[in-house]
Amino acid sequence: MNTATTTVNGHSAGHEGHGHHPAGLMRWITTTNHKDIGSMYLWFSFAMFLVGGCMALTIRSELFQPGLQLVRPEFFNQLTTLHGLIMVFGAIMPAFVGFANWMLPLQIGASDMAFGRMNNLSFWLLPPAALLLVTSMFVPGGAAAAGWTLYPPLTIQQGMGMDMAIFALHILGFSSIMGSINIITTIFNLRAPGMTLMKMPLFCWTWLVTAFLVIAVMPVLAGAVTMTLTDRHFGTSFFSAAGGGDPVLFQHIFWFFGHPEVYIVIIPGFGVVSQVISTFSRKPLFGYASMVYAVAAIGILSFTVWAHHMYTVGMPVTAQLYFMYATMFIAVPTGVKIFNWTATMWRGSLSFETPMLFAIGFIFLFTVGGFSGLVLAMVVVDVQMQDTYYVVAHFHYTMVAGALFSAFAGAYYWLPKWTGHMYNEKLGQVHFWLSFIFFNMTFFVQHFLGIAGMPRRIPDYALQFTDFNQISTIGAFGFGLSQLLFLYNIITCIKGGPKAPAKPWEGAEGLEWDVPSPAPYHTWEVQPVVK
Amino acid sequence: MSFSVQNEKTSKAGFFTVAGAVFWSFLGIRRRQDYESDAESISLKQVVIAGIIGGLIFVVGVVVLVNVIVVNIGTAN
Repeated sequence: MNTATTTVNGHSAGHEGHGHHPAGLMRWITTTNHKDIGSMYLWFSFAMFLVGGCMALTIRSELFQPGLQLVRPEFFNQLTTLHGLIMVFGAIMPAFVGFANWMLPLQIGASDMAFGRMNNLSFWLLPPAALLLVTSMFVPGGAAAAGWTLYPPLTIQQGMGMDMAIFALHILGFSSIMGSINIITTIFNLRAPGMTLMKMPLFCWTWLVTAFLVIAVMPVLAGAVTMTLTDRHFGTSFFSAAGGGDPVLFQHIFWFFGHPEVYIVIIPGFGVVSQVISTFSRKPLFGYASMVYAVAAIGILSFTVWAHHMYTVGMPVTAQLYFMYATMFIAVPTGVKIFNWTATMWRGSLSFETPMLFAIGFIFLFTVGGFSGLVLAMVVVDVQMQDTYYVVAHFHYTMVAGALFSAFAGAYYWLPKWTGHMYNEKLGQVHFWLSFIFFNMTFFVQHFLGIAGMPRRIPDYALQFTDFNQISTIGAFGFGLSQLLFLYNIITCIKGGPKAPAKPWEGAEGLEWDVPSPAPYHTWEVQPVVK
Repeated sequence: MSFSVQNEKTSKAGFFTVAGAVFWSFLGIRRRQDYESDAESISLKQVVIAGIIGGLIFVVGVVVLVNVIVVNIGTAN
């Protein structure tokens, strides 16, 4: 798509590996370099992925058989809550901010992100927030145990772990908003000459829309949890029925944040997958314009459908019908994307390296998650399925097979650029197939459990649910252990391996492939000219 | 959807051009040719305002549709 006519890296390459920065720990604490910060985001999110994953495995272990075996019910509730919060705010969101930090400046021909120090602060706010969430398990009363949705009245009644979760969310919100301001400013102001917005790779476009969504909705979440905080400690009654407040109000505010949040998590993944599919099909993306339009439309429409998460709390039938129709409509631009990816592959010269496998896996499984979402969009069905394992299966098909698989696709795709080495392709493919098989083993059966009526967030269940739960638990351990292969592959790739050329993928397009691999510490100090 | 920020001052797209672009974005479809002409003529400000208005029209449209359906439920039999 873009042709850079520049010899800019003649200068940069001379500084490869020894930029002007402090060494050791101080390099990472004080860095304003987008690549350093991007790497820290990615490592942080992977660490959180393992922490949240261990919580998930404890949950699945408890659910291996009916009755209570391993953990107390109170602790089980804390695990489900922290698993959700950590995976959404600690793993997936930072992972894509990490991708953005690394790749946006490279893709648009900028020397760095617009606000280097703010970028540093955005990252360094994350570890304290993660510490607050994890250590809240050890305070009197334990961690927040109301589910990641933090519904009152439970949140008003719980111990100081709840306050720690609220504070953590505030900090994570600050971090996300600052990251988004940085991304928007970088895209609007630091593009190389000739890199018009319509020439940007789709990953940049998807992040632009996502960044606006983050700025729009994170303050809403902050408001909701602050009102919870004042209800808890300062005598207000926003959500406390005893004082004349309305617990359902919280649900409306939360989901006004929560539904766009779903798209915040998935839209950057759309960008990654679009680029990967185009590269390994050796064709330009089919319907680039449509994709940009669809992403922008989803961004706007995501604000109009929030109450489909709460059909059963009581609302007029008119409102139920409104949210049902609006939700079904939002599936149209999403369906257009699936069509575009498929059409990109149509008659392409396909090859199936690991990033492509994860991208195709993403299309398959995200479509399953999208369709089960449409099932749940129907009020009459949702009234039956609300708070069952069907919902758990649905959103894991969008969050894990959607966001996580696209993050894996992106990681394998850009790993040669980051490390300068090729990863072990065979191991990558094994990682994909194990993840794909075990993911489905874990979550597909949960559809059946949900339809049969098994409620979520309960540590015990009726005897007839045992078989599917055991399959699910075995799948979960398989999936979890498969991720260690990914870690091993990355570490060996960082340490060595075949040298990666500047453009390791034959069909890849874009400015990031014009810089050497590994990308020098400083790139695009002189901006390229894009034709 | 444009939107070269630098081009904002030279914008010449009319109301219907912007409305059309937003309509097609809601379906997620756009001819490349039309997209390229959008990108030439529509400014970022126009597209953001039109997008918000489009979103409001969508919401009001669905609300009206739903009300018509609910009112007619009783009269169907």
